[in-house]
Amino acid sequence: MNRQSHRQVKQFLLLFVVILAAFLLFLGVVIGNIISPKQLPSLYTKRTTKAMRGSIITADGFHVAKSQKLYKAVVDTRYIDKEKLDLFIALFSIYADIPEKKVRQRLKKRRGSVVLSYDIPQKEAQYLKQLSRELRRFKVFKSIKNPKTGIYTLRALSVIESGEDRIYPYGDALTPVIGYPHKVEENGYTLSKGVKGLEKRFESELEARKEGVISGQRDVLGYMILNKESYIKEPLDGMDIKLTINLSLQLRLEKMLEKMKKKMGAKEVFLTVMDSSSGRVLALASSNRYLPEHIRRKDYPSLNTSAIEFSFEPGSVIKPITFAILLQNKLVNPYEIVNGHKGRFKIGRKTVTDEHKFTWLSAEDVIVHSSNVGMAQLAQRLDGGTFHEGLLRFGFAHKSTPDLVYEKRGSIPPSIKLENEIYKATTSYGYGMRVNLMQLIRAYSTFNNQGKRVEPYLVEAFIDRGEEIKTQHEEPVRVIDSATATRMQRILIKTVLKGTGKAAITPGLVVGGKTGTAHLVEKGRYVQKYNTSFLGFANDKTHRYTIGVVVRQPQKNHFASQTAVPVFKKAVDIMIRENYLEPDIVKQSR
Amino acid sequence: MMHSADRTLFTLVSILVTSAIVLVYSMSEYIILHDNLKDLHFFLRELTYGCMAVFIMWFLSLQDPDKWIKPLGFGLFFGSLFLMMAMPFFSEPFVHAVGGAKRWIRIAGFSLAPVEFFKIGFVWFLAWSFSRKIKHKPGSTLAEEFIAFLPYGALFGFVMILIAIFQNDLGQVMVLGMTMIVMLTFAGSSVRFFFTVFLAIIAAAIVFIVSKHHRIERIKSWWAVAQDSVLSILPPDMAEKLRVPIDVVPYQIGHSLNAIHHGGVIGTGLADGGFKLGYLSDVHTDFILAGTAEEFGFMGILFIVVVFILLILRLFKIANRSKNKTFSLFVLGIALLIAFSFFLNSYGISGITPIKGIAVPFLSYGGSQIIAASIGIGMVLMISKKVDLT
Repeated sequence: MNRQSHRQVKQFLLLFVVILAAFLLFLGVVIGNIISPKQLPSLYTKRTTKAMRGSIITADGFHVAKSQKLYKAVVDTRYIDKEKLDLFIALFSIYADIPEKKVRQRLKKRRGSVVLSYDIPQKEAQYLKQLSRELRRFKVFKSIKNPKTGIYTLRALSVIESGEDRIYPYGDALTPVIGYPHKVEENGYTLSKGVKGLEKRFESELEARKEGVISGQRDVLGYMILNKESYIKEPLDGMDIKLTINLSLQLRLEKMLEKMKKKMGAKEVFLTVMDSSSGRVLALASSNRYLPEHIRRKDYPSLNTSAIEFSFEPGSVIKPITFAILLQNKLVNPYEIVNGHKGRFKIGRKTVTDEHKFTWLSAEDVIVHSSNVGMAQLAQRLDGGTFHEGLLRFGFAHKSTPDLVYEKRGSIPPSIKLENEIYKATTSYGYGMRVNLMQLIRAYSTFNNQGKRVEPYLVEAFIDRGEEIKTQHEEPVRVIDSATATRMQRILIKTVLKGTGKAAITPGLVVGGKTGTAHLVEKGRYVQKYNTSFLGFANDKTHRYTIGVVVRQPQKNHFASQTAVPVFKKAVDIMIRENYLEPDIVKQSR
Repeated sequence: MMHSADRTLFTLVSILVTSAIVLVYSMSEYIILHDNLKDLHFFLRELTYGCMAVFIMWFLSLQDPDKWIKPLGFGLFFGSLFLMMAMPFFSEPFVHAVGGAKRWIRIAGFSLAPVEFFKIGFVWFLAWSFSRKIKHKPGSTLAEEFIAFLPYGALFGFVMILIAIFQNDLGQVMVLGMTMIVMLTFAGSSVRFFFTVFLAIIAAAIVFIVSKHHRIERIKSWWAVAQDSVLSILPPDMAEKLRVPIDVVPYQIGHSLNAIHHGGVIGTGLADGGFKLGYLSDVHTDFILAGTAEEFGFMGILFIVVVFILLILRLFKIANRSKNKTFSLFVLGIALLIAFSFFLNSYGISGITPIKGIAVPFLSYGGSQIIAASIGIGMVLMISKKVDLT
């Protein structure tokens, strides 16, 4: 018995030692494995999200230009289980909203990686990502062995950001001011970059800034685990641009211009409405527009913003400017009498003529009735330097607004030339110089703003991550005395009431302005083609607007009073309807 | 005279069961997401099994071994043997098959793996039978010993067919076989006979492995990982000849080793493991040690190994001090079942041997395994009352 028990104890001891050794072997191997260097597969993954281009937003909150992310769906045909191909095609077709036939065709095109669609919008892309997950669960994809490495791989349907698309939800509204982009490919990602208009001018502000990053632990399928270790940085989109332009007003004006263009048989009718005291441009409309998403060859002439890119000989709209320079230099008395020379007056070799012939008229009536003869004579009182300086002070030959690109600054005659009596005469009524509408608007704003010139602007603010950053503007520049401005304002009102601008009369509003008709030059000669214009203002008790209209080559009638003025009048009427102006009817009827 | 049941043993097993509940909670994260299960699906089940296990151990420890052990042991043996024999004749939904192997039977809404209960019953049967039939007789010939062993050999052969072929579960057969021959030696058989049977079993195992393709693949995939360390000690030209091209990616072993390496000494921390997220399949069951190594590092593994060593030591102490030969052999058998299961699993996940799908006793997720093992421990606790452990 004792011997038996002794043997048993020995056996147990021996067995325990063996078992202990076996445990130690396991521990040893574990330690060895921990210590020995080893290339671990990465347990982390990083995903980047492209930032987006900013939107262009009107003052009344409409996103007239915005970006949309596009995705592409890529599948490797080799990984699709042949028996489940039909299922794949049917489901993909439903989720991506692409006809089955098309999907089948694309899959057949070649073996290997196939792009099923390049331009999948965000929502569909989300659905497709879900579909990819489901397909994987249903084992529609099978893994393939690489014959060289022996490693099995599996590629499912992948949905990847392919680029961004610029969309213009309101069609041709606000074109050509808004401009258009072109597509640029950057590492397989399609971007929009501004080519013209606001899209170009504010490229650096609109441009997507920094892509977003999400990184963190991943599981075996590559799904990211969002926990305390994960790092999320939101993409930094481009800034939005908030415009001073109101879409509702703009759209109505655009419609009206289109109609008027047709009615007059003109090449183009365009206008600008600006707040006279601040320089905020409320509307910048043209009859000639295009769809930025589908620009056709016939749209090419419409791609330019005529208000700044079309420089022309302004004609009589310059007369008030010349008159204001005379007044400011105390060289004219509005009530003095000027010889009308019965509509014909010779200066050197040049004969100046008038449409309406006067024998004698008051100096202010030279403006009211747009007498070239009168103006030519009065202008002789200016010396070249003063005249040139005066025109510069009104802003001619200088960029009108910082918010648009490719502006044609035009030109005015140099001081030396303006010493010449013929140049003095022709320049005084707007020939021999080139201006654009925006420059005229800026010059005319002085008459409606106590002699101070304001800088027209289209961008109210930049919106950076929801925060508005107001744009900074040039301080108003004093061009003429307040008294001179008031005097000019009265003359322009009289022009509307009694002279060439009668069609602009609007009861209850203070309306003033000056017509202009200018012969076109073709191959160095004046031809029977005209540009007509009307520059003026419309004020009520609380608002003061400077409005300018240009009609290019009206065919049925070349008088500004019957072309540009009615357009101006319609614009004012629209502004009344849209509550920009409130006519004081009660006062009027008393 | 009766002592109180062994508190140390009870405590050690409870530590393992508690650890299992925490580990299963962390390790089941990925499979829950993958299979769209409720957040606490595995945790709640494991918690239930754990509580049941502790309760069963406590309840059995209160009973009188002279009255309870025998019927319980034979009940387990014959009951589970009957179920295993019947299983091949059932089909879904009465049995649950994985890869053609019917391993689970559904009883009253529960899936049960009869083999887990059979192991306890088998050990009881061997202990009961060996203690009566096998006597230590110095000078007996190998032939005499072989004749004495023959009935057991036949029984084992039958069991092997049931488990290894019908259930395709070679791991369990290996555990049972090794347990049997060690018990045989302790019952009185000679060491010489031990080695004879041992070699025979190895030969049988080789035949068995070669007979099925997937078993060869498993050996290959193991070698693919193990060869680098083994061949590095051989001369280069010889090593090149022995090197097999890696045909199958040793996916499971590879990631198991990655997980162990990633854990390092102190681990990534609870729930922060990375390889448990789908890289390691079955991380809450067969690869729970790899998962533990990742999240708790070498310290975690050391802790578990120490608990197991203490557990085995305690069982050996009870077996050694038990005056009843049958009880002594039974307790030894339970200790061996636990030890061999642990080795088969831990050697597999650390690349020492090919992987065999077998649970880590008490730690791996699974109701049958925990409850069967706790019945075994409960029976030992019963026995411990008759043993002076002081």
